[in-house]
Amino acid sequence: MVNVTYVAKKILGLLVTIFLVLSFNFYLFRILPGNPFTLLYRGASLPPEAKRDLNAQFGLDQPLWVQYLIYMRNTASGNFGISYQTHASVLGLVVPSLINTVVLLSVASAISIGGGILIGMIAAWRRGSRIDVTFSAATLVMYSMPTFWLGLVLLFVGVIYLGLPVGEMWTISFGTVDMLTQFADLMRHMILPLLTLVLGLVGQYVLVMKGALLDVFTEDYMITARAKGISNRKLLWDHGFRNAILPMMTLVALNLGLSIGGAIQTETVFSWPGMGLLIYRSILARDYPVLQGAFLMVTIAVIFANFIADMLYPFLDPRVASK
Amino acid sequence: MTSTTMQIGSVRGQNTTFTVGWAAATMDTLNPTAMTLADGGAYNVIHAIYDTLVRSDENGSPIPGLSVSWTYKDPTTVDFQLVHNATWHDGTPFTSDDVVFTINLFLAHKEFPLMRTYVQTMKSVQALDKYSIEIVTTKPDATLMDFRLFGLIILPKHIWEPIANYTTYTNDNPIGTGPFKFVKWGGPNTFVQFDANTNYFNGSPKFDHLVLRYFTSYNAMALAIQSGEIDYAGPLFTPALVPTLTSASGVQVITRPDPRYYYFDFNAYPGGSGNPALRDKNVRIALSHAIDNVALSQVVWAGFALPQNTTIPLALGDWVNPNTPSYAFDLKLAAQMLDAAGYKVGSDGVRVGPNGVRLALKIEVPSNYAEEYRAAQTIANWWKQIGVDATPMITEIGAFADNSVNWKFDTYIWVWSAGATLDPDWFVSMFQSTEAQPAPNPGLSDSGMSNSTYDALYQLQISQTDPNQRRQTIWKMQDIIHQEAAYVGLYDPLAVQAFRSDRFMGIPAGKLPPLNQFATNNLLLKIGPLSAPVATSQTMATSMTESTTAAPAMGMSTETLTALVVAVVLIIAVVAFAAKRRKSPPKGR
Amino acid sequence: MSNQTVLESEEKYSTARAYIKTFVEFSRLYRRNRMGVIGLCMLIFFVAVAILTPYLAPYDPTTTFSSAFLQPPSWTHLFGTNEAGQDLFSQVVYGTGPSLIIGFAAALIATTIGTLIGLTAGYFGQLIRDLLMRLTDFFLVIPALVLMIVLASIMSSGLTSIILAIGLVGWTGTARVVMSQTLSLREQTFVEASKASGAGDFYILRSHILPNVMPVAFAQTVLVVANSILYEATLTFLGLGNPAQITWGQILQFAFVSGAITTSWWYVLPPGISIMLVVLAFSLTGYSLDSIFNPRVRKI
Repeated sequence: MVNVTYVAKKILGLLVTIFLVLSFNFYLFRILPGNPFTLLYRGASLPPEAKRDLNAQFGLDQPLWVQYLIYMRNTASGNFGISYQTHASVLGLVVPSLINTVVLLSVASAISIGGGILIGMIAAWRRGSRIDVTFSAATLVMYSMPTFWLGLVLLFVGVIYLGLPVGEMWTISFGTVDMLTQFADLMRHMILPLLTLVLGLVGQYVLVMKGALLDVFTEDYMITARAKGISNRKLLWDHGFRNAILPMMTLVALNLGLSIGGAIQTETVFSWPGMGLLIYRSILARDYPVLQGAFLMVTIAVIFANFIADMLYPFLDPRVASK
Repeated sequence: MTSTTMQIGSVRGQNTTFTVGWAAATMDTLNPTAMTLADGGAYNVIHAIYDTLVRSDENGSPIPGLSVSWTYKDPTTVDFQLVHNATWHDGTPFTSDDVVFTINLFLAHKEFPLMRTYVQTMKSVQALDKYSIEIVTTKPDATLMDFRLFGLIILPKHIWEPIANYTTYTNDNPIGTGPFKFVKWGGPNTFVQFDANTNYFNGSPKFDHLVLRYFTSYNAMALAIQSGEIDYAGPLFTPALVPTLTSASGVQVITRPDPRYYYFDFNAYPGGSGNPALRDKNVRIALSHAIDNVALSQVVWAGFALPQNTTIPLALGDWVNPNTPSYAFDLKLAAQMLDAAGYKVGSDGVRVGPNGVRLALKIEVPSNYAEEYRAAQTIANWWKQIGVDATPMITEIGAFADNSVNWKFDTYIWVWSAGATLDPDWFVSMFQSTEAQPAPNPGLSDSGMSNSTYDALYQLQISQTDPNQRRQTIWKMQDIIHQEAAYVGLYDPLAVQAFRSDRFMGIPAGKLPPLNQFATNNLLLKIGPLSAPVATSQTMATSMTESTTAAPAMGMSTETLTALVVAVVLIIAVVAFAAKRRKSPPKGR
Repeated sequence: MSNQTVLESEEKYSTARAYIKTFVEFSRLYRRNRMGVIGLCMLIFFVAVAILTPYLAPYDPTTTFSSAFLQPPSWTHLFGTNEAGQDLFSQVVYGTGPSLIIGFAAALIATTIGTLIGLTAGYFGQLIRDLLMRLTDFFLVIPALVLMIVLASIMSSGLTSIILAIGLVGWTGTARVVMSQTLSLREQTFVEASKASGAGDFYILRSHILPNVMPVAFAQTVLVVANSILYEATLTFLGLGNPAQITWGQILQFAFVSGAITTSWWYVLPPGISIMLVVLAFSLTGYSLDSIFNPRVRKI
């Protein structure tokens, strides 16, 4: 069935990549200028002993290779350090944020993929028509906008003219009203960030879908099939669709990296309490442990998603596994 | 919504809820012994649930909390008379045993990060009778009342004594004596819910429920208070949001000085690598004459800051010496003084001193206070006019702090803010000569000031338990700092807060912002629903002398919006047209 | 010897062909492509604005008009004023040059790295190719913006760190394109012939391969500039830029941080529209160039 060598190679690749990312992560943050605690020292609430405590805790007085080992061991056991600002556990900050981002991104991706399929089909079907060309042009214009700016504009329009909330995830305190109202509240908050993300993502899916369908249209067997009298629509569904799945999946995996970028910008603009906002706030405060932990989490999440996509390929395209 | 759910922000006879929006650090722990930072998010919550022996009033002065009065038997011994009718939220009466237990607990546990600071100068505590205690300090401590006891949370002995491991105890159901009973915490970055403690010994709060809601953006919060989702918002709105707030009906904007100040610093440390000209006091005084802090407060904060002459923020009230001047802005005088100090203008327009030292100075601004860059630019422009080659620049905060600690800068602009305390000791401590040490400087000094009279006065004030005497000392110290020209005080930004004056009333007057980490309970205890709904008014209760007259522009007119939409459609149409015409016939079809 | 001459002229011919025989033919090809022409015109417009900035901006962008705080557009302030009372029209005009230059500089770094890696990967043996491909994949799998944020924040914030951050992350597209082009070129007869007559690798790369990948790399560069400008705007918006330097992204950052975004549409629209138009211009130009030079581009 599934080629064992293929799976083994992929798993090995996964582990190697994660290891490289960890080391890369460590190295990046150790070439920081200066001791970040100098800032904390200026706070009136820090007694002198605490300064020494902090240095010891973060191992800042040890040689670099020792710090590396400490870091590797800590990360493996889930200890991502503590925030410089709040002294709270980084993992405790990162995990809830990641969940919120996953919620937003998955809904946005689902809508984008669905929309992409639909519009891609229309565009392929009516290739060269005004609809097709308008979509392409609109996509090009969308692509030329920074995602955060699109968010700012939508925020402005949505808040001033449509009375939508200006950000965050909830208005009504959680648990004080019934589930339906809670859900409606969440939806109200999600509309604008979703719209921002979808407008940025959908274009590529349209392109891929359309391309895949057009590929199929020009294949010889398609011409033969049409000559035989099989309806275009049937051909579209049977062959076109299936032909598109693989590149679509590839795109989803590839797009994860870009989607994260879009999510960071969207969450910052709409104060959506996810990874993006966490990263933004830790940039502002130069809270490096949080930044480091967030970077690690995000990268590993994307690597993992790619890995899963790799695992699914053999089921979609048997040729891949036998390579 | 069912009828039993909380009415958020509604004003009715029963069941009023006061919702506060807070855009600073969020709640992270319910266990006072685990608190690490005094300006962390837990502080406000803990102080609503628990009490301290003394509290802060709206001016930062100590007023009775769990103690009704106190007397100094001698400089190191203080007797406190406690309230008789306080009860813990579970009904158990509060007695002196709880205080003795708490202080001894903190004394015994050096690992409580924040609480141990509050007992640092204490030697022992004992109960004199059921409602009075005596605290003995190791030496006279002037900060006992308005620093240490402000933060020393009193814990219930009957709950905390049996606990085995204090630092891992989650304290999920905190029991205190405070004006609010804990109901629920929604998790990180969400909200905290309280019920009013109707049995509170100081009088029940005037509303039934309290919700503290965390926001990550001031924009979101401005709109939340506009729409009525919250009733009070703070702690620090940006000036740009003031038009939104003032134009909202039913919202009143409050501006008070925030307990922090921005300053201009000269690196005068002899062992540092700053421009050596700055070690000459006359040069510093001359340059101080070329800084106009009134103008700067306008430039940088659009008028939302008060000029600061001394090194104690205006919000600290009486501790600020009202008579300490700032060097008058006079470029001619500055130029004369520089001449007199031996710095003559050279051929390139830059002054050169006796040892060939050029007056070329960097003015650095940390990257996280980028707005102050405008101040740096303005100062540089003034200095250029008196023959000083000044270069304003923004330095990455990590490197900036590094430079400060290593004395590797000429001048910079930075900020001091009240962390755990409103006691002036913090704000005068960094001018001691002992705080100025060679690189890497572990002390607080960044001016390098070394004045033995000042050092002696510092030691004196920290032991003067009589506030009047201490005030005189602190005032004298500010004069010395001025004479030394160690800093140039710039400005004290105003804290801008907003509240729904059409629903609630009773904002306490005072120097501090009503919603701040020290005196928030005064706000919470004084505020109550309006007895009768009023027509919305838009008065600005402010201690500012001027207010902006800019007309707030909200959305754009429908014409502009239409024009914009048309423009976007046009762009798409043009591109579409161009693309269509370009099309070559498709292959294979 | 005559073989050499034939080879040389053949190579010159292919070089010239790759570089386009005459400018006239190129512009004829280009002119057929309407989108490209529009894009080029827009580019020229913006470059002109950048060069003529001191003449076009009515005020010094840092001058504060202390009574005009967050004013909507008027005849004295075409784009209105910001929260410090500075004229936004002047700021947007002054922001043109830096926004373009940063984009160019970053793209230059990215495409140089990408071309070098692509050439090396495509030309030399399987092992090197695998290694470099792994490197490229590694950089592809890390989300680009996150990596740029990390890089820019650990270097001291400001222009150079943003340029470096974008350049060090954005080379992957170019590397791939150049690599595939190099691979196919490597198999061509004139390369083999060159090798047979004893030419060294470096010579071949420099004289045969490089000139033939240049057009495709050039087309890529234009697209990379478009992306770099977007990334610069984003990184500056997130607070990693130098607030002392005016770029369009920086104006938007001030708008966001000061809280003016829900009230002052004149603060938000002009810088964003400028970014959009510039990026559109580069994209249109880049796609047209790409369709001329890159034989694999599908005309969808």
